[in-house]
Amino acid sequence: MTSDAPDRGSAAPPIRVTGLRTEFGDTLIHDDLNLDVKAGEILGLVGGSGSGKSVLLNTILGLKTPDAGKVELFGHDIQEGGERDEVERRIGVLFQNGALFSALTVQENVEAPFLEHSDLPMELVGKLAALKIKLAGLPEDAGAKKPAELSGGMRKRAGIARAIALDPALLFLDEPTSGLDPIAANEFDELIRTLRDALGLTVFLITHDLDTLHAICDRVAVLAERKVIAVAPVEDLERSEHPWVRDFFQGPRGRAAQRTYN
Amino acid sequence: MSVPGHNPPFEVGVESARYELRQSGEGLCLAIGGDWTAFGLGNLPTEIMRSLTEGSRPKALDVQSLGHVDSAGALALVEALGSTAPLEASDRQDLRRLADLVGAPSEARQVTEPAASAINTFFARIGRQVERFIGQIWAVMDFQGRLVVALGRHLRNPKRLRLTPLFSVMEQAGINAIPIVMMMCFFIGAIVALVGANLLSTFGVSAFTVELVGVAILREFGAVIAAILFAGRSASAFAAEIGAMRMNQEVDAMKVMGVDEFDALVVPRVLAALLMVPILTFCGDIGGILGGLLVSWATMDISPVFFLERTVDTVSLTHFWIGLVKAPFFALVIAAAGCGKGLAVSGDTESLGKGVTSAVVQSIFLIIMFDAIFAVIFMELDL
Repeated sequence: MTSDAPDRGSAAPPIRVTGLRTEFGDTLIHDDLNLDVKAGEILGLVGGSGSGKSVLLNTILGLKTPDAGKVELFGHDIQEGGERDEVERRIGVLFQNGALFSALTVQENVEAPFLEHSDLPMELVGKLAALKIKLAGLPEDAGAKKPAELSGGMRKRAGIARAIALDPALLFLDEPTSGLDPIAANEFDELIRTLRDALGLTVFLITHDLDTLHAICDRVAVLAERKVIAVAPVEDLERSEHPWVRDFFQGPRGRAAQRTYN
Repeated sequence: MSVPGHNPPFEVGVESARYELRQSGEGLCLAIGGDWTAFGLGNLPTEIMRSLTEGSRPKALDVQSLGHVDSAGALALVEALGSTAPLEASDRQDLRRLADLVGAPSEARQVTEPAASAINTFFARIGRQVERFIGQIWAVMDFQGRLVVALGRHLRNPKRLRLTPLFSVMEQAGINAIPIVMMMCFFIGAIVALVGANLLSTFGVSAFTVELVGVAILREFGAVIAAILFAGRSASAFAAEIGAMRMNQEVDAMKVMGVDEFDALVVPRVLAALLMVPILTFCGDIGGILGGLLVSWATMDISPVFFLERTVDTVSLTHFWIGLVKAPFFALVIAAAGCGKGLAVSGDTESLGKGVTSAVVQSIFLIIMFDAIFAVIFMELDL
């Protein structure tokens, strides 16, 4: 017999964006943008520079108030205070440069969410943090180091360790493989997939890395013309007739990645 | 906590974790319930460990009333049970997955340094402090040497001077500070006049208040208040600006482009301070005299005209020059402390905060120290 945790109504999609509009002064960034992320999938978001990917991420995270429309995480409207705290501790974020607290060691960085949100005994928190650091693929002695002493790739891993500290249901990654060498980037892709499988995560990632899209993304959302113009597996997008999507996936780099993975 | 008319929330509250130790056929059985998550566990792990004596580890696990479980809960369970076997034998899929993730209890361990003996730590601390102190002296001398060289370069070839940042700093650190310096000195002048009038009137010589205000403001307060305000406003700004540029690798970018960071960042700030602190001192003098004048007028009916006449007659011009002569020295100290601390910032935010703080503390300390030295010098010179 196989059972699982009792279902307490997690039927709502992890992320649902409806009719989102964002504008900076006279510039319209998003107009009537809709996006649904399914539970358990790895969704990649692509779009040209300046198409508002980071703005969309900030809006979903509640760091920016939408000018119109609604963002729901697990069925909660994030703009309606109240249950924010509940939602916040179910999500983990890896910012582009790791955004680690530079005054703390890696171990303390990973412990920070526990100290903020739980009453666990310190000893267990220390062990949990060490476990998450190990899960993120960092060597054991990395915990005692300050972020400034780490390489770029290790800093990202430390950022992931902090993001998965509280076993989030939803993980946001902003350009996880940018600035990594191809070997480190491959390892990082692998890490994301392993973590998704081990922790049952839903992953929302912004990336330009065609290899990442091919290797780990279940679906890819394309942000262009101020809205999400397509959400589909990479193979379907490669056949798309839309000019931007075609240029993106059928350019020289796109073809190279396609050859590797098909 | 569910809001009516809302989608079913992802997690309806958290049920506190609980446990029970039962004696069953094969030995001790740990029955757990509630949410074994980072939020539901609380201090439970410590309690369990306390209630378990060595050798009486539960062999079986009852998860009948277990709610949610996450890696924190799984780790606590593994710690209590001493192995992952009961979790792997459980019929809960998520528990088996987490058991796999958490691993055997001996693995993921926090790295702790072996505790050093007390006497060792004591001497290590002293050693580190001495090393840091020598390092600081070295850094200050290094900075001063480079500053002198950079200023010398500018003297030999004045075209090197970057006028745009010079004027920009002069405006921000100097001109914009004039109102606050005048106001502060105005109040100081007023206070000196009030206290002086009170004291001197008991001797029947309240007219000497004018001299008191004149000497105190021109000789000491004008210069010192202007310098302290400049330190508070601008030494901090210099350290923060240059420190942020260091953190952002802008200073490195400059070096690579062949731009000397002293030419581009330090010299304009030092020169701007050298030019502006005397002007601020002058403005402070005016503000202080005005403050004294107003109070004398209001409390002792000394008319403004009489006040100014008496100031000119009795307060020798030497006092004004003594105040003004100190200003460039203060300026040099403040700008050097600000820029030096800014350049010493390393990668993390903490060192930026420390740099800004110590720039202000150091420059104010040095201002007061220099003022004391000057007081002794001028006294010996009978000025």
